[in-house]
Amino acid sequence: MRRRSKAVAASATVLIAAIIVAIILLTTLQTAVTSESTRREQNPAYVEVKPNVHARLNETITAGNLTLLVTRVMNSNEPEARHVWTIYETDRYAPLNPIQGSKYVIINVTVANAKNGTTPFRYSDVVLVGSDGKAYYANYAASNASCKVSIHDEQLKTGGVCDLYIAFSIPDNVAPAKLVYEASRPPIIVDLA
Amino acid sequence: MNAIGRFAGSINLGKHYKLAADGYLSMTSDSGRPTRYAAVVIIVLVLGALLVPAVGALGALGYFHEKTYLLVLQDNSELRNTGGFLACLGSIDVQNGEPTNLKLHYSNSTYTNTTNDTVVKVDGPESFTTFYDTQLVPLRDMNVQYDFATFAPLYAAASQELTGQRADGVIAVDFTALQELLKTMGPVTIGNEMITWRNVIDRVHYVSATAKEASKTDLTTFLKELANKLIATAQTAGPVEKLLLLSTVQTLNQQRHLLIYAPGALPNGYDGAIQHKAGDYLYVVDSNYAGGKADLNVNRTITYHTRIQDDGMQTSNLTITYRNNCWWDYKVFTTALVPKDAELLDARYSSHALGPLVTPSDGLTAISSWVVVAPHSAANVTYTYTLPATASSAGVFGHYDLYVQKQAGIDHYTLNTDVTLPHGAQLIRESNVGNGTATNGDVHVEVIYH
Repeated sequence: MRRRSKAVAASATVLIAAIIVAIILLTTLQTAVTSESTRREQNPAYVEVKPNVHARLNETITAGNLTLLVTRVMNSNEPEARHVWTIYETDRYAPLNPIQGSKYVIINVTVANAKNGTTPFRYSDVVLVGSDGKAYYANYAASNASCKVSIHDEQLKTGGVCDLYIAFSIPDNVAPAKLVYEASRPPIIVDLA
Repeated sequence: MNAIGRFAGSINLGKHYKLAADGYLSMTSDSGRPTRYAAVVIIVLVLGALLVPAVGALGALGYFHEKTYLLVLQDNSELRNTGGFLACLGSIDVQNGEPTNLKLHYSNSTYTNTTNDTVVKVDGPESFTTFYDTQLVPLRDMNVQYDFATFAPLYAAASQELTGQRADGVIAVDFTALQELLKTMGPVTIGNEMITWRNVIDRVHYVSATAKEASKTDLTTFLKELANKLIATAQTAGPVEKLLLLSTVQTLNQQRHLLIYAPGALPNGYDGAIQHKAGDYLYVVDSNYAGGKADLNVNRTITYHTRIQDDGMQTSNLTITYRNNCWWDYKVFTTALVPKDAELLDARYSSHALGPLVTPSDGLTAISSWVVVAPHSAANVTYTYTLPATASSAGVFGHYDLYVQKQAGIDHYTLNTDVTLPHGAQLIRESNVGNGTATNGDVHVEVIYH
């Protein structure tokens, strides 16, 4: 009788221990699965490439074959930004109300070919650095018809000039700090603040 | 045969369970046999219950023979009944859990290699065929059924007729799913461009809008590369990341951004089917025809007030409000699916609208209207209708249930509910009643009264 009681007690202890271990494992797993920290870094911190050239808003700068000028930084709700999209995006592909908790920043950039011959240019090489130090990648670009061809061909012909509006989606609580054109040698950094 | 042997043989456990129990029976002969037999039977049943779905899932993943699934990319910025405009169509093979042979085509040129639309016949829903006075639609517009579960087999049949290719199922993914998968798995680089969850939708739209060829090979190449990168990332992910991905997929399915129709391989519930629940029911299904890529900028509010009369009958007021944040008109063909035998008393519109149109639909009543919402403004449609008693009673208690089903493709909506009880009734308990419930899934409203 006593032996049976001992066996029952031992079995119960093992069972309880197994249940506790299972609960701990499940909780750990659940925490790991739901934790944001296990998600991969979405917008990596911007690492400045050196050497580089710096400019400010409304200051023209040339690096390698490309001349770049940032004239305006807009919130997508501003009338001019809306106006630009209404003019250029007649196909209604680019609404300006992004993900909840985020906003669009529209940067007006003029790029020009600084030398003879064609110069490569891709607007997706333009990166916005936020006040949080992270890099945000371009969502969309609007421009006039001739510039659209240049963007599609990813090059500027001799004497080619393009006036672009590039949209970036950034968190509501982040302000645009810098615009970086990464593809030129050296890279161009424009301080927006 | 002893008592336990008779017991094991008397219930219909299936051949394998019976063999296991019989085998155990022959090996034992002591007085503790009954308990052990019962334990063995229970263990076999539990293992069977676990193994059957596992075998189904393995079959779906192509472990027994290769499976082919049709793929449907639904652009939920241009909402359609099953979740979005059919932007791209294709197929993928799955063998031993490994996806291979991904094919994608722009929906306009899927089967014809031209820009001419492939036209298919749809036999419903009646609201659509009556309002638009047609049964012929381009293939890219054929998802007019109220749910993906109804559309998927029709699409599979149309696809088989057009291509001769038989499919084992249909998988639908919308742009929100792409966003969430990138959020979980991290950015990918496509043709030297960084694609993140923040820019993926706009990038896809941009590539589509600027594609030079009518067959939009730029778009399909971009999407194929994106899909292959995501598949490769998933395959090389660690165990925790894989669990996280599984959790994301599960959530996307629950929110109906990723839908799987695989008859025989997966249990129901993955295909976004209409939920036939007892009690009151509400399912608002919207289609944006010619309203542009607007729907990620249109906020929906569903306000539902029902009065339970003393005889149990109900009078309900349903208001669907659209807030259009775009700078162009939003045009929506909206259908409210409500319980069978609902009788529409009144329909009111705050803007230009056509309707109402009342049609029957598979055990439900469909009330439809076409509504225009001006730029940067709100518009609403209000229906007043009576319902036969949906509340049930158990003794002195009354029980009212309302199931509000979320349409596939919509990110979120706001739900306001109010329930007026019969005269003299006392509220015992209620859940999900009130204003301002922002939700991205189905909602079960429950009221218990005395």
